[in-house]
Amino acid sequence: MSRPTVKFFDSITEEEIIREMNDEEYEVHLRDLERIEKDKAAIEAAEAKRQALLDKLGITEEEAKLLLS
Amino acid sequence: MSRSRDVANIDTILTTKGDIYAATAASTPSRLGVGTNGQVLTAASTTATGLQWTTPSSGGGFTLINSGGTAISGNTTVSSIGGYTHLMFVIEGASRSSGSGVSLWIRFNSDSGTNYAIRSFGSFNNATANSGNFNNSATEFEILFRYGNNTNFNNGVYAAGWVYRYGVTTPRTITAFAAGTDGTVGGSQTPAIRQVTGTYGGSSAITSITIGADGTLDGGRIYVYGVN
Repeated sequence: MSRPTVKFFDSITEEEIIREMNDEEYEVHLRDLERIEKDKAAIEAAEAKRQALLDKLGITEEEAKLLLS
Repeated sequence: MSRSRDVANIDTILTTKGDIYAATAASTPSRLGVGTNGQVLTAASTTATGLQWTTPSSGGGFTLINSGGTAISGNTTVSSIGGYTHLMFVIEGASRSSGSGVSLWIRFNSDSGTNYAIRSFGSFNNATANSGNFNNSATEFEILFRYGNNTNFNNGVYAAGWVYRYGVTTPRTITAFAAGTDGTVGGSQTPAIRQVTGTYGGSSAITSITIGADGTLDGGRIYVYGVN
C-alpha cells in the first residue's frame, strides 16, 4: 500500500517537490491518526454520556436547557 | 569651447561628497546634493532637476511570499518564508474528495513535537458550541476539527490565521478562524467552524509552514503573507 504524499514549495527558488512520505513523516502521520482517533472517541463518549443522562431523566436536550435556564 | 574646458567646467559643478549630476534642462547639468543616510532617489517632476532624495516608508502592508499561492497536495509545506516580522496565512478551499476526515492543522518547521498550545471553541456535530480543546502540549496547531460526519469535505475548508512576531524568540502567538463543510445538504453534522488561538514554542525561527490533515489533501491553495 502506498503512503500518502507530501508537497514542498520553496518560496525563493519556487522549486516544487511532491513525493511519498518518508519513514519519519509516515511515523508522524500514524501518530496523528492515533491521536485523532482518541480525540474522536473522547468526544463521542462524552456525547453518549450526555444522551444517556437525558434518556434516564426522560427529557430532551431542549427541555434540559429550559430547566437550567 | 574645447572639449577639455567642458570637462573642467563640469568638474566644478560637483562640490561635495555624494553630489551627483542632474540635468535641469537639455544640455544643462547641475548639482544635486546627496540626501541623508537611508534616503533613496526618486523622480519628482516639480523639482528643478526632476529628482529628489526621500525617506522610504518604514514598511507595513502585506507581501505575498509564495507568489500566486501554493496548490495543496497532501501535507503541503511552504518554505523560505523567513525575513518578516509577522506572518499571515490564508487557506482557500482545502479539500479531500475521498475518505474520512476530522482534523485540519498547521505546523511550523515540520515540528511535530509538543511545542504547541491551543485554546479553541467552535461548533460541529450539530452542536451549538463546543469547547473542550484546551491543550498545552499539542503536537500541531489544529485549525478545524471534525469538519464533516466522518465523510469527505469536498466543499473545502476556508481559514485565515495570523502568527504574531514569528521571527523572534518564543513563544509566538497564533490565532486562526476556520470553517468548512463536507458538502452534504441537510446533514446533521455537516458544517463546522472554529476559532483557535495559541502559541508555538519551538526554539528556531520559523522558516516554513505546513498544512496537513489526517489524510491526503487533494485540493485548495495556501497563501502565505509576510508583514513588517
